[in-house]
Amino acid sequence: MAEIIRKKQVGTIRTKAETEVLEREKSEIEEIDRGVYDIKDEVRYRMKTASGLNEEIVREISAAKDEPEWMLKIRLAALKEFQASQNPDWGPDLSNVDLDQITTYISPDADMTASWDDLPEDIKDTFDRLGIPEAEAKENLSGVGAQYDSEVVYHNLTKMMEDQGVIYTDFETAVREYPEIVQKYFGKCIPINDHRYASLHYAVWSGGSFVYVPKGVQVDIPLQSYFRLNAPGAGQFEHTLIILEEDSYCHFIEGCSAPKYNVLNIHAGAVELFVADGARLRYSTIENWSRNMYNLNTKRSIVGKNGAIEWVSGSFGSRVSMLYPMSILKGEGASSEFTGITFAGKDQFLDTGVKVIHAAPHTSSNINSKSISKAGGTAVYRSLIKVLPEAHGSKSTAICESLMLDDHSRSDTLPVVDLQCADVDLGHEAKIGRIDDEVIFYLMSRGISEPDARAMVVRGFAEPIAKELPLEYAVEMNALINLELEGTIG
Amino acid sequence: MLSENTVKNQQLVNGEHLAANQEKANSKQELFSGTAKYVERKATDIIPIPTFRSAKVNSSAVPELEFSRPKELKRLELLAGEKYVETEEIKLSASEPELYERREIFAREGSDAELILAYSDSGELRTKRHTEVEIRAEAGSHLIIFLVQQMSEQADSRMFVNVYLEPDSEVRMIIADSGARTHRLDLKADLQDRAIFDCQGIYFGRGEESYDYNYELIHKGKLCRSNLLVNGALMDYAKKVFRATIDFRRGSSGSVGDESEYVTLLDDTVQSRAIPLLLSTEDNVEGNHAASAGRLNPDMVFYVQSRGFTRREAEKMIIASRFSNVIDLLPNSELKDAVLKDILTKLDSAD
Repeated sequence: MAEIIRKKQVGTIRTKAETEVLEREKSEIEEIDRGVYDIKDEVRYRMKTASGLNEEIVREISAAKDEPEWMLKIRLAALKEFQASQNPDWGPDLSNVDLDQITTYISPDADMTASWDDLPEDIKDTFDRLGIPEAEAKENLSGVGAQYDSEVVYHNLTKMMEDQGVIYTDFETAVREYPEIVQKYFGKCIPINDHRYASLHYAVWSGGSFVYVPKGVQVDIPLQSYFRLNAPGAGQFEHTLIILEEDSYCHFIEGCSAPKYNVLNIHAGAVELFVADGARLRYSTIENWSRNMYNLNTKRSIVGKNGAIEWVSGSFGSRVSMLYPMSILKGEGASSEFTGITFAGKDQFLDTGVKVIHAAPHTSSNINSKSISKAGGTAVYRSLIKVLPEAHGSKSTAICESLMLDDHSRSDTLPVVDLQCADVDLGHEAKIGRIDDEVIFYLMSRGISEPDARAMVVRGFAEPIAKELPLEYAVEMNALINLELEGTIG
Repeated sequence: MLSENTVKNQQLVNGEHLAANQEKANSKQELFSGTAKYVERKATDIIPIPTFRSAKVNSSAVPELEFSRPKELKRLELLAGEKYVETEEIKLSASEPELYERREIFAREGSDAELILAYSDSGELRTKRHTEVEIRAEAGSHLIIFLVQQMSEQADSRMFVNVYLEPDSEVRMIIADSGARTHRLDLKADLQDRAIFDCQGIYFGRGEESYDYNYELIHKGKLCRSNLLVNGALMDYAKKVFRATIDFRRGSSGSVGDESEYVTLLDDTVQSRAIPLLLSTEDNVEGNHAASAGRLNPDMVFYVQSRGFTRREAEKMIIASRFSNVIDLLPNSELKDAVLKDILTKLDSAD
């Protein structure tokens, strides 16, 4: 058995000289100022694994978390799957994803707490700048979690929710305190060999959120988790598991960001959602990773009889994204709704979309996807709607719109519709185009400058998505759009 | 210049990676596939999780045919002047069970022509055909091509059409497919400045027939227009894959491309796949795609039934009406009647 190495230390990853070299290199890259998202903290850590991935590192992570044997077995099985796998031969080029250069686990120098004041000053400041404590206070959120690099540093749930039996905690605590629930659901929605980066995730997962909503409980005010990756050359592999029992409701909001570095960062999280009969889950995300991030996240839900999953998704940052939230409509009358927007700017390849499997009668799905590409960015919408033979009486509609802001960007729409049942009602529409000159002319005739008119049209294009988001996220999304449009049409 | 990835992506959607993809798909690593070998899952947990690979986006299920005889080459040159109209009906039979042909059509500048190619078979024994059509439409030429296929469930059919449209040319294609055990149509149109390509098709699959369509409309020039409209119906155990790509290449400014597929599913045992792609590296374009699939509208069927028709008669009438926009375009009444009769007879066979 490999030696288990535990490290406890506090230190910086780079020397000052190394930082200066990196900063010089960084200045050679044309980039936009992303404001608070790009502010870096000094990298201080309590423990980190060596770069690369092998059995020793996996055992080291497991030991650091003091995990049960069954979890270690899953990690090791996933590692084998990962080592036997290859990058997909479709979509964006992932050849730059070199795990030898990635630190898969980096524990911040902070203990998990339920009070922002107990956090180290720099970490607290980071989340302050991102507006998380403010949102918690102002919006009276039911619960808030904040992950910094590989570990959750803050978690809090209101007493009212706790009294109703709602569990909202970090994933490590869930493994320790609710092993029977975690074992029942962990890896059942996304198998460990689902694809290369799902295998990677299961081998080195760390952090994430666990939500359990008992039968009939309505979590009317959202729960919110924020994932911040601060360390350069690191990966974030959080696991989110949400279980909604019968007739319950929950709105879960997820935010992600990272400052920009000149080295590769990778995000390969996994989100497993189990929506029982009659339950409804709304899952909102704004992903705003930095432009050195490979975002290879996997999200999937299984929905029971008359249950509903609602995805609201905004993909802005990252160098490369491959993200296709999937709904498996397993129970009769289950439904899925996807509302998403993707904004691909310079040097970005955002390959996003959605998958829906109609696996039971009278299921329905509704997809509304928008993408914007500019400054040479590539936005790809890739989807799969599959209706199995038993899914008679099912309905599906998909609308996909792509807006191109210049002639050196790329926008592709690749939908797949696979019907194995005649008794279905399916409609699909897709459009690609640019901003109508007549609209711009009209706005200009009302005294609006051309750049403002164009920005207004883009915001209008994104408005159906923004209105689905909680207010502060909608504001953030509009701010991101303005940020992305700087230098392009503004 | 396109990036390597972009090229790779185009190759993928264009099907150029077919062989490589298929080989890899068959190999141990089923990437992004949840159907794989996670044996520890309980039977009740096993839910088929198809992915892009298992949907075989880039794979034609219908292989090419092999022939022992050499390919027959036919060349046709169309000159400007009087309108040229030609009908060619080819019937495969016991004495001629195979057709292996290549047709090259040169529509010279200013020419105007209508060509009808109608393929059928006697249905007595297995037949097969492979037809390649290479069309070059020069500036100002105007060409209408009717491709009609009425083969039996004994026939295997392959059709590969390449259309090169020079600036200011116009090509219209009317395609009616109502039979063949396996049928594959690969149609590629390459549009230069101000070229117009219009394609309207119908298909009707029954029994265990398998249809595989791959349309690829590439806008290379400015201000070109393409339109693809396909109506289909499937019954029994018929299978269909419809792949269509409108690709706006850089420089195709001012172009408009539309693709639509509407399929009526008559039995629960049919399988229908649609993969309509819109690719664009040009902002000043308009690309639209629409698709729908489902049963016949029960209200419509009920209405027709309330006028004294049986359910099957009502279905036949509605399907015939959906196909009529293409059948009506056929140039002579004999051909129209033959196509409609063929479809209605096949619909009757389900009774």
